[in-house]
Amino acid sequence: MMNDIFFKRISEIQYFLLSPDTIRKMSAAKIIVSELYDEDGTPIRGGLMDLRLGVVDPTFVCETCGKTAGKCLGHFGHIELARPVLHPEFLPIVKELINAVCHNCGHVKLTKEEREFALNRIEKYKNSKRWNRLYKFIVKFVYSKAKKRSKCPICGYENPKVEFRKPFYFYVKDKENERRMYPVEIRAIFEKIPNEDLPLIGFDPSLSRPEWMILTVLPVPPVTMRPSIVLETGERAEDDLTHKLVDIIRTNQRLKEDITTGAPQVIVDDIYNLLQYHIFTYFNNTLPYVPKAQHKWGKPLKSLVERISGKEGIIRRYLLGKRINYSSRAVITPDTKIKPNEVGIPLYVAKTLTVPERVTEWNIEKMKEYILNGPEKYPGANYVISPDGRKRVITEENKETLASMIAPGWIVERHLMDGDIVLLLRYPSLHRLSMMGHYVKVLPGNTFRINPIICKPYNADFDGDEMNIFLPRSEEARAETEFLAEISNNYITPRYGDFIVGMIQEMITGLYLITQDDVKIPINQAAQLVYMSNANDKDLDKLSNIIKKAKEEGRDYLTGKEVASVFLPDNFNFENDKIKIENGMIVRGYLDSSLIKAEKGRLFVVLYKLYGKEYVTDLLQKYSLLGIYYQYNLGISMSISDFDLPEEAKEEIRKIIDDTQKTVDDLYKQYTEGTLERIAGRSLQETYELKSMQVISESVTKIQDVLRKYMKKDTGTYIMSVTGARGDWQDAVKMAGSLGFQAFRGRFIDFGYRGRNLTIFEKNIYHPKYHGWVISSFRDGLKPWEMFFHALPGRDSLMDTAIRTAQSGYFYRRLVLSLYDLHVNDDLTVRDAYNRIVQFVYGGDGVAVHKSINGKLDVNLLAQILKPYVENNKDGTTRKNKKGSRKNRR
Amino acid sequence: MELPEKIKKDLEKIEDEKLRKVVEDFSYSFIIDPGEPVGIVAAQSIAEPTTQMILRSFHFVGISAQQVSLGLPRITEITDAKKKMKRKYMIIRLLDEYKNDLNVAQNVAKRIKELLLEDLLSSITLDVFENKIIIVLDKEKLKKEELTFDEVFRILKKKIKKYRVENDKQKIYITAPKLSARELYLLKEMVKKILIKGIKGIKDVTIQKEDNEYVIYTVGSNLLEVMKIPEVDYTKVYTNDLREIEKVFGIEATRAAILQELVKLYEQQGLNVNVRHFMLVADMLTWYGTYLGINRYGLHAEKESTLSKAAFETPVSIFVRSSIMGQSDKVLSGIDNSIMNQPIYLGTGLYDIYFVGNKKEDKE
Repeated sequence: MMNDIFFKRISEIQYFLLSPDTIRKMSAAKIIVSELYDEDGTPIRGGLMDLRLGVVDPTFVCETCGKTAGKCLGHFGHIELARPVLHPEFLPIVKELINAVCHNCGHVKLTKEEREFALNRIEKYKNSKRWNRLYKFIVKFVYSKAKKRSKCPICGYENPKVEFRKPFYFYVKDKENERRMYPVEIRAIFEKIPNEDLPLIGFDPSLSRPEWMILTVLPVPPVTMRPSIVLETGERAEDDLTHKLVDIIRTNQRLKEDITTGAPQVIVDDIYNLLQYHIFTYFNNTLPYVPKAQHKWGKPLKSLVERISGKEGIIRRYLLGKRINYSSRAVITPDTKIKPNEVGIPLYVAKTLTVPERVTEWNIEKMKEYILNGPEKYPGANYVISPDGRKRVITEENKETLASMIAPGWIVERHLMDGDIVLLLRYPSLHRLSMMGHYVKVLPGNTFRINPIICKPYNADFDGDEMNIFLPRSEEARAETEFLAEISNNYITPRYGDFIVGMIQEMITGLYLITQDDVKIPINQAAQLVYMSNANDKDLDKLSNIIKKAKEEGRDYLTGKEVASVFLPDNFNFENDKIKIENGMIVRGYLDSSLIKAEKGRLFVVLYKLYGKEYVTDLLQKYSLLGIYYQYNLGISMSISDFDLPEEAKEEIRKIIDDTQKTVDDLYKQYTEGTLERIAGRSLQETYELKSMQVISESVTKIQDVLRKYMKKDTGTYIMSVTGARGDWQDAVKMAGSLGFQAFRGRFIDFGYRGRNLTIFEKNIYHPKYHGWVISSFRDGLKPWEMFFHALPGRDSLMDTAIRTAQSGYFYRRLVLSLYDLHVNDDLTVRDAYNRIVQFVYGGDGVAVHKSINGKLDVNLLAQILKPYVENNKDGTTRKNKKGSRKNRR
Repeated sequence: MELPEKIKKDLEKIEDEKLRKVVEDFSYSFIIDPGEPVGIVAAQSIAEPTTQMILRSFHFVGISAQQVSLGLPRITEITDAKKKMKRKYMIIRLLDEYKNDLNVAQNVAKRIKELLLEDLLSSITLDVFENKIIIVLDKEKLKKEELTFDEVFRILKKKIKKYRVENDKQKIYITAPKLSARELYLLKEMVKKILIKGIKGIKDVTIQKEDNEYVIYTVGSNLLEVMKIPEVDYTKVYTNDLREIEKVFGIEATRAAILQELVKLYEQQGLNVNVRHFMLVADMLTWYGTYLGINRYGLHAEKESTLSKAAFETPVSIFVRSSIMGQSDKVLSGIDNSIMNQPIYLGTGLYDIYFVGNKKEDKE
């Protein structure tokens, strides 16, 4: 069966203009009638819905290829135009060209030297395929030189100037009198251009001729491209393109008649212009200066150009936007009990998504079991595919027969099961960590379950977010998902080279508190904690050793550091200013956000590089559970009383604010008197605003210091901000101290009424107090005007966010599309799609950010980390494996 | 595979031989895999944090004359290779012997600051009947700038060669007999912008003290003219106008400047992005030998493949241009292959799998 599948690559695409002959040759039918159907609804021969152009109606058969609707791709037809007509998309080129060539002999109006020079350059650009440069050169050199000349250097003919007038008229100025130049004439001039001159104007003589830019034959797109819809009322609704083509045929017919009957020039001109208009709007209905073609009810028709271009056009919507089956979408909910590299999938989804599994002699019994379970009972199977490619649905009736039929070579579409791999995605997919592989864990319920420690890369939360899963079905796709896209391969972000997954919120608090110096946990409780944190046999061995040691020392408790050390490897050493780990035991310091928090997690990076992904995946979950369960016991919470300050603190804050007030008053006085010294490049008012805002922001920093000094140390709020779990000191100041200055776009709030922003104020006092300074804190409550000041920049920033998403989205698109093809070659050079070198060594040293520690290969750091292993010479596994695997691969 | 030169050099610093061997072996796990789509990774790494950027950011720190564009607008300015950029500035450092001397710094600052005729005017009027422009200078302003009436007159006479320039010790007259009223008005606007003193483009100057050194910050930029001033250390002059750097120093300097500007920009916003990604973008922006922007007139226009260009913007005009030129595409780029529904030449798509097995068995 597999032998029948072969793969052909499209390796080259050639672009050229369609000549009238080509159009006739590729046409299946000449369209002459403007009516579409006869009385009984069958398409008229020679009409626009001609059966030779393909079929969309299932009751008919295509007369050209004999295939039925859905199988027949459609065939082009053609319309013979009564007179040559301009094409709107080629108009800019026709406009330039008509003035660049001699109307008499057809040569491009260049002298011999210019011609030689231009031909040489063009040849050079063409060979190097620098199309953009070639085009620019032609416009800049050939057209501009040739256009200026009226006398032809070849034949000496004095060319009149051709003037273009919107939308589609050409006029020739012949010694004072003016006459219209019809496309027939233009076409005749273009026909004169000799082949050897064509490269000069960018044409390839073997492929395209300039006169083909002016239409004499109009290709009619196949019916499949403009299908008609039958409405509920039984009426037929035709596509916009069909409507337009009907107009074109009708006008063309009339023009033909008028010309043959010898109608007056004025009438022929009128109808000719109408035909021109219809063809213009058929191709492009968005042209300026051309009235839009409309439906009877006023909606503009959708033209060919609009179909192709833009976000909703064919290219971006259908050619670049791929849609697939075997995917699912659901709301996500957190579950700390599943591993970080797993995703909990509802049973219903697992029964619907199927994995094709090939039957072999080794798994045939298992497969039979699945088939016998059928589509309803989990784990079952939904379909079987026989070696000849026939797909059969498994039902309750036929499952026994199918189970007896299968043999090696068949494929069974079994239900999704634990251990299968799927891709998990959350929109917007801004980086590659938005779509990663996860192992399936089938669970009851209706939502996808993910471990909250992996929220960061997906930027997910659980306020109703939905995520998608995609099921890779071929062995190749599954292998790539497992070895490249799986989340444990992507813990280090390629953006800056640190762990992007890690502890969040209360996990940090818990781990911070448990590793404090004076924490004592009774042995039974410690064992309970370790057990609850998903400990494995190795951890339990270590725990028993630690307990043994504690008992020898006569303790009936373990320290928090000892409990947190249980999950670390025995030979692990790590040291920085926060923590010291010796032989797998935390001997000094504590865990805090810089070591374990998501997006930072320096500790995890080192462990990841030394002990591999499986170990770290487990460790992440163990630590998260340890943190959560430890802080459960403590009952960390926050309340408004956390911000209760002693009298002296309040006094200090009041003093700071009074001082600030004095300085600001002083500034105001200087400003009103005009004695304030101006900062160079800024006006007096700007200087005043900047200075007073600076003074006020300084006061906020001072208040922060006071709070640090006086706030109660054992409150939930304090612990949170110290550990970096949530919130920082600026937030604390806003709650307990003073809100500070509310700048609106970096300035005072000074609009609303004349000379003031609220009617409660006096006019024309340009003092910060009346223009954005909020002295109160949230805890004390804001004054009415202060609330207004605070709300205003808040609303502004909402607007800001809305604009920014659009802007950064466009920036993202441009950047990705321009760097799309760059890749690292075997020799570590960076090359583009055409194998041209961009960088000689990627990043100067060939280090991959997502495989590094903080984005670099710091040899000294590595030496420091690896030194203990060399000295002890105990550990051989991690290092030798890494070395071996790399070298064997090369 | 061998380690890149840079890492080898670093490794030599480790003295303990046993340790060096271990570190060297471990270093292999840091090296990038062939086939890695570094372009997309770089683009994503740079563009993903822009959603977090502050659009109109404001800083209290370092109040000065400089108004520097920040955040997303500045990034688009750099990647678009904008010709008319907003908020140019220069950092000028003086030669070692002058750098602690405030007087020299002030002198230089005074000399480079641009002074236009309009800054000295008391009034400028048109006499339409006699086709004259009448200029009256403000004596106060003249005094402040240490200029005399005659000096200004001489500069004007030198700069305006086409028309007759006269004075009567009070006013300056420019007579342009053949001009229409409209042209006269345009001439007046032009005359107003005539440079009397200083360097064109340097709108404002401030002197700041940084580590015992006087540094001149300017609003506006004119690299070439500033470098000509003898007191200025021309090896340390800096401007944020990348187009000007390209014009004066060439493309390699532009690449370095783009890199520096981008790194600085993300640092200011507190966003952590590895320098390798900026290097790749800077390399691409300058890869064609000129500084091109990432837009449909710049980098995207230079692409070889029609479909890749069409997938970005204005597909119809690109198809038109390609068809008259008879362009042919080798379907190699990712977007082309994606449109054709074919595997792309990136990552694992660059390599094929060959099954090396027992061939006899295979045939059976």
